Parts: sequence; C-alpha cells; structure tokens
Amino acid sequence: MSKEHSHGSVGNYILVALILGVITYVEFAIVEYPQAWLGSTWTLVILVVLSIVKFVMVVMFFMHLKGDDRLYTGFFSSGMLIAVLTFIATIAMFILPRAMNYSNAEMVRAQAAGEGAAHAEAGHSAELDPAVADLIATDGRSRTAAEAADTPRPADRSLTIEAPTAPNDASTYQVDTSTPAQPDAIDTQAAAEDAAEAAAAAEEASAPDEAAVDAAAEAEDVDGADATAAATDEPSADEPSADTAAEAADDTASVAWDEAQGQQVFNANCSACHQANGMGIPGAFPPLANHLSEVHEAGGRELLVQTVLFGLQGQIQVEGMTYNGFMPGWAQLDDSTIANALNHVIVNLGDGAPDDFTPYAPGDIAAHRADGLTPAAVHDIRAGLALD
Amino acid sequence: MATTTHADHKVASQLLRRPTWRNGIGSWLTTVDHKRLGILYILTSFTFMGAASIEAFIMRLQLMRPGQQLVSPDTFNQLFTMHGVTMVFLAIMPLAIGFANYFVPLQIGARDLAFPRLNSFGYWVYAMGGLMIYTSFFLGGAPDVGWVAYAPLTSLSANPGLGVDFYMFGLFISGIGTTATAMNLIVTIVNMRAPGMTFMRMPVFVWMMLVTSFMIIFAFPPLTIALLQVILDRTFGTLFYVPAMGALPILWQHLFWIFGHPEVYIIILPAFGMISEMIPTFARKPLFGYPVMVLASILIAFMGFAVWTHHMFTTGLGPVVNTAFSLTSFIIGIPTGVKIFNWLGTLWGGSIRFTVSTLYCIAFLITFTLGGITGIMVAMPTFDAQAHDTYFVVAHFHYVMGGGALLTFLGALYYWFPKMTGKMLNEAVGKWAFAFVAVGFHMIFFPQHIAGLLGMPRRIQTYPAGIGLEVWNFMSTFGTFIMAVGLVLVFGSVIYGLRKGRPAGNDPWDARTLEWATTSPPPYYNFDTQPVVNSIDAFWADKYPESLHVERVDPAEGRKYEGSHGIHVPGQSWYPILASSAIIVGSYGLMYDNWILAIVSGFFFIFTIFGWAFEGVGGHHVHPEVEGHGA
Amino acid sequence: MSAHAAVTTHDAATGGIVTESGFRSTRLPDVKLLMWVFLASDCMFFGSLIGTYLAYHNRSLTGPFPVDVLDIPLTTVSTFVLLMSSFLMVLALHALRNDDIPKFRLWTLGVAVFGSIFLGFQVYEFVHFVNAGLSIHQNLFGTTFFILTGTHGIHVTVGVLWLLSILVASYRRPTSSKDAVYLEIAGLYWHFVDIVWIVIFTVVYLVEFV
Repeated sequence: MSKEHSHGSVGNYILVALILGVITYVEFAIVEYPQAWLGSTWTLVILVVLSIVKFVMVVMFFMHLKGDDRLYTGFFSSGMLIAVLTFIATIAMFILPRAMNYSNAEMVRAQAAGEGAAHAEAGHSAELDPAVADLIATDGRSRTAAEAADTPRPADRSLTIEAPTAPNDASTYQVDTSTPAQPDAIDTQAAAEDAAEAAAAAEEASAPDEAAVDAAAEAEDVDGADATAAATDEPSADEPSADTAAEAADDTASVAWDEAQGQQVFNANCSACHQANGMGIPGAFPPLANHLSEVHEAGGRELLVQTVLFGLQGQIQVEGMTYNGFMPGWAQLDDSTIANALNHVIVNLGDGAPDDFTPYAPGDIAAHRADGLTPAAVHDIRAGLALD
Repeated sequence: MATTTHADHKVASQLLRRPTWRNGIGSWLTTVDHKRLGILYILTSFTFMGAASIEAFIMRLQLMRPGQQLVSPDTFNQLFTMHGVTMVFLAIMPLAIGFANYFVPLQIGARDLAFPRLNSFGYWVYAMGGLMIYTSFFLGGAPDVGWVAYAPLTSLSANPGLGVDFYMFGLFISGIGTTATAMNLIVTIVNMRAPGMTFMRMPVFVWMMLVTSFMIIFAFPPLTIALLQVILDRTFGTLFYVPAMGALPILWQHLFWIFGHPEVYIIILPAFGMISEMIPTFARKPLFGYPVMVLASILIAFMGFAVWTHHMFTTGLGPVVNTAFSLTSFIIGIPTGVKIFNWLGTLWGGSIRFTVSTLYCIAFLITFTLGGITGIMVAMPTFDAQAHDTYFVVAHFHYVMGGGALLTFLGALYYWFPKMTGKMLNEAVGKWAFAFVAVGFHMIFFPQHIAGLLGMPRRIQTYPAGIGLEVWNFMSTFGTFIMAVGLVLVFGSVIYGLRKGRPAGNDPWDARTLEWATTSPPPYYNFDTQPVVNSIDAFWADKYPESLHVERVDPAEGRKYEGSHGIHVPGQSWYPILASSAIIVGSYGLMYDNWILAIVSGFFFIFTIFGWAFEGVGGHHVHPEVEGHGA
Repeated sequence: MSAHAAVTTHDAATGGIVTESGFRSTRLPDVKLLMWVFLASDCMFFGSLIGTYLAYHNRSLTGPFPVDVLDIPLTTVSTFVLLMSSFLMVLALHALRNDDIPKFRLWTLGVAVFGSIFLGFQVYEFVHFVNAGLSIHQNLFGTTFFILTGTHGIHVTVGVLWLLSILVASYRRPTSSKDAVYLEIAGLYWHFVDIVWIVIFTVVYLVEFV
C-alpha cells in the first residue's frame, strides 16, 4: 500500500527548473509584448494553461507527488478540488451578470415569451398561461406597484429619532468632500428676500463678490449671522437661474439655504442608504454625489424634487450600474428641510454644483406636493430624460 | 526515568525539562496522554455547555410571556450570541473531539495520537480561547451580533465596543486548536492502525472522525480568513467590509457559511459514529451495511461543501443560484437518510437491551429524523423565504443539533463512562433522567416550529401579546424546566458514579470494539501487547470468532509488533500550554491596542516553538509483561 | 486477550512497519503525512484570500488601480527567483539524502537567500505602492492586494526562518540522511508557497495587463 519514494536525479530537476524558467519568460513576453493576432482571450487562456503547467510540474516533480505514495496525492487533490470548486462558485456569484437577479422583469418576460413560442411549437396553445401573465404583470407582488403606492405608509417612527451626533458611516475612510461647517442658521425666508435684492443688484453690476458681500451685509442685519457664511456660500448666488426656480413662489434668482441643516437632514435620513459621502452602494443604492447635478443638467430639476417627495421605483442606470430597488418618498419632511437636503447633495458632495445651479427654495418643493405621483410614475418621468 | 536515546539540543532541553509527574496539577497541565486530554476536553465542554444552558434558560424565561423585561434587549442580544457561539464552538464540537481523543487510539489499537504535544496544544488553545471569549462579559460586554456575526454590523463604526473583537479573536484562536487536532487525528487514523486493521475494518466511529477531521481542515480556513478580515478592518482600517468604499458584506456571509455548513456536519458526523457503535452493541448485531455507511459519510462530507448558500436564500442572489443550492441540499439528504435506514436495519432482528444508551439512541433516531425533515423543508427557497429568520429555523437546527448531537453524546456518556472511570452509572436514575431530558427537549422545541410558522422572528427580546405566540412560548419555556431536571439528574449521576458507582470491569456491555479489550480505565499505555486484528469488530472477533466467520488471532502475534525497547510512552511537555498562553496574551494585546504586549507575546510564542522543536523526544519505555501494570 | 489456543492469522496485506515509536500501518512518516494534510488545508486558506481578491476585483471606487502600480518586469524577476529557490530546495534534499552535508548546507542557505531576495522584492514593491498612494485603506485593491500578498510573504518569511533554523541546527548536532524527512517537509512547505505564488502571479499581475 505504501511505497518508498524514488529519488529523482539532479538532471531531471535541472530540466524542470529550466522549463519553469522558460515558461515564466513566455508569460512575461506575451503580456509585455502583446501580439495582435493572439487576441486577449487567447492570451488569457495561454496564461492560465501555462501557470497550470508550472503548478503541476512543481507539485509532481519538486514536491515529488509523482513518485510518492498515492495517499499524499489523495490528500492534496481533495484540498485543491474543494478549494477550486468552492471559490469558482463563490466568485461566479459575484461576477456573473445581474441577469440572474429576480428583479429583472425584462428577462422574465423574454423567457416567458420564449416559452410561449416553444409551447406553440409543441402543439400547445401559444398563449401565456393567464396566471403566468398575471405574475409578470405584477412582478410577483400581490398588488401592482401603483396600488401599493396608494396605500398610506405606516407612520415611520424612525424619523422621530434624533440624528446621530456622529455620521453613522465609515467616516474614517471617506474623502472629505464637505465644505467647512457653516456655523449659524440663516433665516431662509428673510435672507431669501434680501438676497433677491442683492442678486438683482448683482445682475446689473456683474460683480459677484460685491453682491455676495452685500448679501452678507443684508443677512448680517437680519439676524447677525456670520458674514462669511453667506459669502462662502453658493458661487451661483451671483447668477440668475434661468430655470424653473424663477417659477417658484419665491421668485428669487439666488437662494440662501441652511447648509448645516441640509447636512444634518441628509445624514439623518438619506445617508443610511446613499452613504454620508453620497457614493451609494454599487448595485444597491445609487450614488447621489455628482449624479444629482447630472440629472439637474439634463433637465431634471423638478424630477429631483418629485423623487424626494414621492419616491422612485423601477430599473435605472447610474454611472454604468443598474439599480432596481425602491426608494420611499419623504413627503413627511417639510419644504425647507427637503430643499436644504437637496442643496447639500448637489453643492457639497462630489465635485460641487454646476455653475448655473440655483439652490432649491422651499417654494420649489411646495409647488410639487400636489403632483400626487407614484414611485413608478416618477420612474417614467426619469426615463424621459436624456440620461445615460 | 527519562531515558532518551536521541541527542538533545542541550540548551533547550535544560530550559524546561520535560516533566515526569504522574499526579497533581502539574501533570494535568503538561499531559500529552490522549486519555487525560480527552477527559479535559469532555469536562471543559460540559462546563461550557452548562454556561450556554444558563444563557438559554434566561432567554426562555424572558420569552415566557409577552412584553416581559427580565433582561434588556442589549443583554438579550449578548445572550443569544453567546449561547450560539458557546454551544457550537465550545461545547458540542469539542465534546466530539474529546470522545474522539479518548477513544480513537483505543479503537484502532494504538497507544496515543501521532503528535501528543500537538494534541495538548489543541486542547489548551481551545480552552483558553473559550475562556477568553467569556471574559468579555466582564470586560465591556459580550459580543451581541449573533453567532453568525454578519458584516457590516461587526464594523468598528457600528460596533465600537470590544465584544466583537472577543468574538473574532476568540474564534480565530479556538479554530487553530481545532484544526491542529483534526490534522493529528487524520495522521493517527491513517498511520497508527493496528496490524491487520485495514480501513474497511475500522470501527465506524473512527471512520466518522477521519471524515470529520477532513471536513474540519477544509472548513476552518475560510472562517479563519473571514475573522482575520474583520480583525484587520477593526484594528488596521482595511476595507474588506466597508460598504462606503465599495465592499460587499455578502462576502462575509459566503465565507462564514462555506465554513458554517460543513461545521454542522462536523458536529453531527461524530454523533453518527457513536450511534453506530452503540446500536450494534445493544442490539447484539453487526452494523447493517458497513460499506454503505462509510460511503454515505464520505458523500455527506464532500457534498457538505456544496450547499452553503442555502443559508442565503433570502439575500437576493437570484433564481439560478437558489435552485442550484436547493438541489444540492436535497441531494445531501439522501446519504443521511440511508444511514437512518441502516441503523433501523441494525436494530431489526437484533436482541435489544434497553439500557440508557439504547434509549438515547432511539430518541436520536426519532428526533434527528424530524429535524432532517424540517431541514428538507427549508431547503426549498420558496418555503425558506417564509421560514428564514423565524423560530421555525431555530426549531429545525435544535432538533438536528440538540436532538442529533446532544442526545447522542448523553448516550455516549453512559456508554463510555464505565471505560473512562471503571465505574458504572446508575441505570435506573439514568432512565428517569432520560425521560425528563427527552420529554423536556421536545416540549422546548416542538412548539417553536409553530411559533415560527406563525411568524415569530428569531433573535427578538420580546413579542407583543395578542398575536397568538403566547401559548407556544410558554410551553417552550415550561419544557426547559423539565429538561433541566433531567440534566441535573445526569450531572448528579456522574458525581455519584465517580464516587460510588459499581465496578465496571473491562467489558460491561459485551461490546464489539477494541477499547473494551483493555482495563477500565486503560493503563496509560493502553494495551499490554499490541492488538492484532483480522476482522471488523475486532474485539467481538476475539470473543466470538465463529459468529464473524474468522479465526481468533493468537495473542502472541502482538509481540512481533513491539519495538525491542518495549512500549514507548510519549513525554510530557510545558511548551504546548506555554505556546497557547502566548497566543492568548498576544490577542489581548492586539485587542487593547497594546502593541508592546502583542509583540513580546509574539516573540515568546516563537521561543516556545523553538523549545518545542528542540526539546528532544523525551518519554520513556515500559515493559508491562515484566514490570506489571501501572509501571 | 483470550488465552485459548489459536491459529496465527496475520494478515499479510497490512504492509505496516515497526518503528521506534511503535507500529505504523503504512511506511509513510508521520510528519510527512502531517505536512501534506496541512498543505491541503492551506489550499482553502489561500483559496479564500484569492477568492476575496477576485470578488472585489474592479470594484475599487477610487484609484490607484492595479494597472497604475503593478510592475510586470519586476514581478517576473521575483517570480523567477522564487521558482529557482524551489530548484535549490530539491538540490538540498537530494544532497542530504546522499549524506553530502556541505552541499546540503550550501543549497539550504541558497534557498533561504533566494527567499530573502524574493521578500526584498516584495518589500520594495510595497513601499513603491504606498508611495504611489495605495495603502490598505485606500481602496479595495489596496486592501485585498496587500493582505493576499502580505499573507503569502509571511508564509515565505516563516519558511526562510525554518530553513535557517535547520541550517544552524546542522552545525550544532550531528546531521545525516536519517534526518532527511525533516528537510523534506520543510521543502514541501516551501514548494507550496511557491505554487501559491504561481497562482497569485497569474491572477493578480498578469491578467491585469491582458
């Protein structure tokens, strides 16, 4: 049952060593000097094959499995086999496309259609079984999304919980994208009116800094707030926004907003999913940093308000990644809260706001409360935008 | 006394001479005798089991009625976490290893394990690691993240206290010990079987321990890596489970369950082995279908690595993944079911003696089968979507692990206590204890199936009145009192038996395997002469050779296989316990960010390794036929 | 056992051997069996680390990314060094088996030296990466890369220390071919560390540039 190992000759070892060296050089060569005719797939295949050859040669000859008792081979191969199979399966679950996911309704429909066709070929009715068709239509849920959205949500007690004093995320690792903390709250309404005058003056004078200083002076008069706060505020405060902000009840061209509250609200309500740095979680929660600006630029200024008010449901693409989740609406927050939060994301997270961005004012939010949209409807509006 | 014929490294062998005490606490701290280590394992496991039972008892008291506040939610979280960790890692698995430590060498006719000091190291690392986890109660709070400790709940920002660190370090360390012992058992079983004992003549318990040991060495590394990753995240700021930087916490679930599922087979296979010893003994019939039993266990072990994602059916991996793992989970039920039929086939037509062990075996058959059935139920993703994280799952795994493993180990205790101590446990009291344990067990866990189906989630500290859960929870808690009575009776029985049990003799059960061929308890060198084997059920073949159609082996055969120096008895050593201590102290250092302590401990550990390597063979030789027993 | 007269029925298929420590059912040394069992287990250990690396591949949110920092020519050299160290290892074992003690010591030293050179390359690489902004908490690539290759590096270090201990011990106690099995198991460990590197070299370095 057991065998004495047979001693290999030095000559054999030298040969194996030479082969190993040559293979290593070949691997290096086909990577460093790629051959066009080879193509990347074949290069990959060759690399894998070559490393398997090296692996096997070291195991068989240097570790002497070839001449030794089969028991050793049994031990080692069982370990290798379990390791290779287990981790190929695991990695496959991380890498294979999300077509495997339940929530890909398109795939389900396509499959069902395919099955319907196959059924027809087999002589059965080509009609989808009504139960199956119903299943597809409702995405497996007992009620359609629209119905579900109509049902009032239970009171979300979590919103009455105090915001954590520290960000509840891995903030030690996050890139600091926030501007220095704004110390005092500025009374939005009064400041907005004053700022409107200042902005009007700015339009004529085209002196952004002056206007900012004026606005700051006004603000200072109003409630003694720190002048620097307003001064370091929106660089956009000097330009009128040509978009729908003008239609808002405030009729302001520049809006001062409460940055501290915006950050606090965002952290308390949004960061649980979208993360404090607005980077989201790939595949689960889309990033907001830079993305909201992008949506805004594509004409989605109202859409953003509607998303926050009514939620969003359905498949979307953000920065090359597919998301197919459900975002609840936050209509229970008041107008200025929502406005500050949106402003915080666009201005403070990511690369900052686009030059022509006018911060949201509470009136912008109030204007959409009566829209009465469902999350699916918001999705449809979003789909109408030219986003990639 | 310390006759060594090998050149020792002078310095090392003088630093810490290999001790030679026979009695006293020093002899226990430095022992390398597999029997003593086996007893240490068993005692330590039962102690941890007692702690875990208290934790369970408190939880059940808290859940007895709706809306109670006996313990706070935070305490409750610690209780269920520690109950799970203790039972799985510190009680049930080491109990199996303890019995294996004691009985595998005896059953294969060997004198010790292949690496006695490594055996000792495995025990001390387990015991100290377990103790370390328990110090967490006094050092800021036990871990409260569930025994599965999902990321990112275990991240530093979500869980800044030390509890999670105790979990991570404690299990990391205990795992080293378990893996070392498993490797030891594999080499022992492969290389130290008696002359004539081919693999297919080994007792089934030995086969199970061989297969279990392979599962251990393949299952523990992924857990070790996962624990290491969380330790690195918490101590050095790596990003393995930091979602904000793109990490995917589901990786923890994968790594944990790649370990976790084989772990439950690691727990149950030794129990299968014990059942396979007890039933043939008490039915006076050879095990039905020995080769199939062996093959089935190998299949279970291999397939056990292919089912882990059935713990993750509700994580949204998709229909393809769920279907694949559902299929493998169904398939693994087949060899398990085959074994049940083989045990029934062994009982059928046998002349059955209803000792306490027999009763536990029968209870095992019923309870484990029920647990297996609920297991098949949750192997269906559609059903599991309803049952996941409810008490239905809790009931399922308690039926297979409690009913499967615990009942078996109690039966094995009654079976093997006479061999380990030379005294019998009282059968009458044992039967009463069994009744309380069995009835209590079912009263605790059967209602939990119903509570789960009614929607009661796991890991909740309390539940509201008026949703139909009260009666089932009350019944379940009531059962704990009954089972507790039974366990107390067992404990009392053991204490009484140690003092006043009637003498057992070598072979009180008229059993079949080699451990019964020597005295009770065995001498420290196990057998006077090397046993030689020519059949399955080697001892039975010696007593009743005609029943197995073999010739009896000449007792003088054994002398051909002894070395001329006599029986070599391995020497004791300080290094295993010192090495374990270094690891534990170093872990405390890392946990408390005391880098000096960690580094010094690291160096001390390296020192102990060198000492271990160079202290020389040690031990001595005995000649029982000349010197008599106990020499 | 029984005292009745009996027929001797030793089963010739046993094939065992009597050693100083007692009977052994195979002619295989205990320590060599232990080492192979350990290596089988280590497959799962490195499998988990490599699996983690691959699961997180291309998921770093920020740079530096692998193509920015990995250096194929440099790593090819270090791979070659490690492969040659395995070659020296078999020479060392061959020498010891033939009782050529001076050669055994030379080649064993050679393995330790080549292993140290490999470690030197690793250290150089790590320092270079850190200077390029890649740390263990910079991004997922940093975390998984450093822990995977770092664990491998620790294995190499342990191997170097082990071989040096064998070398030093050979001067302090008589060493002969009888002790070859102890060098053999150190060799098995060393070769395993080498084949793990073969996998890492392909999976981490080479495929990045294809």
